[in-house]
Amino acid sequence: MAILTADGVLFPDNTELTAGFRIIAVRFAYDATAITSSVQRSAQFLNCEVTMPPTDSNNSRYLIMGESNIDDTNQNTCGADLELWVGVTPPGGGTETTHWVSRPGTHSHYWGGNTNDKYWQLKNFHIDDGATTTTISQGQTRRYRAYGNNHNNNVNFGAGTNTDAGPRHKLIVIEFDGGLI
Amino acid sequence: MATTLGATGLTLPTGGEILRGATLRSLRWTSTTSATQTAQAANNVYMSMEVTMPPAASDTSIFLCHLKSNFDDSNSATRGCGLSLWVEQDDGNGNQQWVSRQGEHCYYNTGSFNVYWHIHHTILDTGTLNSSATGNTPAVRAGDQRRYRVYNLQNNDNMISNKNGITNQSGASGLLMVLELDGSFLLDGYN
Repeated sequence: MAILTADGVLFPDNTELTAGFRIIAVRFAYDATAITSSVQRSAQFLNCEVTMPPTDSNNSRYLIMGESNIDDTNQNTCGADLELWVGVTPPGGGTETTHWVSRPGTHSHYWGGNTNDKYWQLKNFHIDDGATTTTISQGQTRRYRAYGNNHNNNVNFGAGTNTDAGPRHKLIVIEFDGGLI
Repeated sequence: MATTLGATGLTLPTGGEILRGATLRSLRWTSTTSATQTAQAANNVYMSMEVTMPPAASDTSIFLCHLKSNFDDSNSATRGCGLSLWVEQDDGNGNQQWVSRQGEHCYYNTGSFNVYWHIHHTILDTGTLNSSATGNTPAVRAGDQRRYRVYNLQNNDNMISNKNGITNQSGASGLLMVLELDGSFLLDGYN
């Protein structure tokens, strides 16, 4: 027979269902706007922002996934990346601090000296554990955003790709319980 | 109706159930800024990313793996590469296998251009044996630990992985994340 324990349920085969092994929250933002005003080496907001519920515990960790379709405007040398950003407000309010979670770099996806027409679907995927942002603590409000950045002033984000349907920019954030760590 | 505790989970007053299966077990990750910034032979190149999972919760655990890295060609000539994921199970039998290799032509083009790629790879390691379609990794065994590593293959001896110094870059140039899931997430017979 299963038994109740201090933090969950222990089953006869010694598997457990505990309070620690769960997803706390999932938030997402999708957008289909073509962004044609991106300036080289300057982060361009991709209209995807999510505000997570107050952080569950000091041990929470955040998985962040972003995506955007891009096109070069002049069939020339081009490069771009998709960057993940977070704004953190202390528990109870106060001044928000902002941080980059991950910036692969404006020519992390790049083709130089090539005059062919190029389209890419940029992706980024990262875990915010507070190490490069700010320490995660219970009750904070963490606001995540997706940005695009380009290297040669010739990239449109959210580009149409002829047969595409649905969003052209995506941001998904999952808060994991610290018991997983 | 009260909440009842059964052999496989909790049954709630609404009739809903919370079962022992379909839970997350553990999450591990590593990131690096340690570039392998030398030209390498067209061979399996270790990329300084390794995670060791806690002992598997059950024989049916499955592992969702995601890896990424920045790549640059060193000579602006024909180039190709792909990420690879390797696993070893600490079961005393030296069980180690490739979970997945994208292949050295997965990202590839010819010609004299300067090229950078930001490459991602996602794979679900189900511990399936004898099936080329779903990988060929050691069968998962409760209590055994799995150790994952990231490698790359390249086609033309001219790729640099975990590349740093990219304009506006900040943070890691490579990442490996592994999430252990209860096998009950899968339909019976799926693997």
